[in-house]
Amino acid sequence: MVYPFNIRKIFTGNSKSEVVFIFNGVITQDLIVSLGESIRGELSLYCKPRIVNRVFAIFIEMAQNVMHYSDDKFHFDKRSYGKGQLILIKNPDGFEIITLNKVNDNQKNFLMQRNKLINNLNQQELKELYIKTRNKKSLTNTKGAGLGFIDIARRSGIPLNFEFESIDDFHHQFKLRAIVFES
Amino acid sequence: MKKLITKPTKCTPEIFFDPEKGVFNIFGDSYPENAYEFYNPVINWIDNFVKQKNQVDIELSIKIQYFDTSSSKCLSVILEKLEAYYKQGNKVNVNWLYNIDEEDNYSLQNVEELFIGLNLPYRFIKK
Repeated sequence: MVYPFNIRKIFTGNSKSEVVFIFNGVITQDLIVSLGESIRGELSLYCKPRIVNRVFAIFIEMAQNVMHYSDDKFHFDKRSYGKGQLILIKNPDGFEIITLNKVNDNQKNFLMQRNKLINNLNQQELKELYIKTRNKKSLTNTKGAGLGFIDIARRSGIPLNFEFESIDDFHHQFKLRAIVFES
Repeated sequence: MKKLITKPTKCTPEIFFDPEKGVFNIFGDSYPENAYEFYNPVINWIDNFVKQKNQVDIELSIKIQYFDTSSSKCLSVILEKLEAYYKQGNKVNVNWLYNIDEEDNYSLQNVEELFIGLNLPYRFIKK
């Protein structure tokens, strides 16, 4: 892939990595479906189905988080959709899925607690937490992000990488990065 | 009681439930924008079906390549409802159909986790 400017370096800081796509804007369900389809289509040309499935699944959960929870919303047709960035990078040894979105203080505290908890657990403990969380969860609140992060960590197989950058006194940019190794 | 039929989309499965024949199919990917909105009519339909006390044998076939975490909650509720029907002494079989492509440990493990704690016969069928 050739880009008109060095977008690869801006986003990856690594000349051996390629940006598969970057989306910046309103995250709708239709957009998630099309990017998901493109992941399945393109990646299956050069990756094992196992890897394609993992990248696809992690991407969907992460993109849905931005759609449902970004604090920067776009309203239309009685619904609201979160704004943010969705990025997929191909590294020599695998893939990186990155999302960026605005969160408020409460969300930041929730995310920090959740992610710290998840990152301290091994695969077996993650499995137990996943089942416990699913059984506890109420059906009406099916958007709950609690399960999503556990699923991402389980599919990635390595701890979640998350960062917060302050925007103003009450808001932060939340960056979540999940890695899938091909081997 | 009428059949429940929902056409598939790229992110929601086809639903075909025939109350007289006991043929229940869920086929397709599941990652709706709002899983509760999508599955609530399905769950209500099953509740009504169970209330009819019509003792039909149920063969539930599921072929879902990918389901997100919200769908996983909804699917586990559907299975719990069928477990209740099974415990009333009715016959229920669940067939989970999958491609060889999906023979990825995590996907199948994820499916098995739906049945943890449930007393409901199920089997995997490789297509």
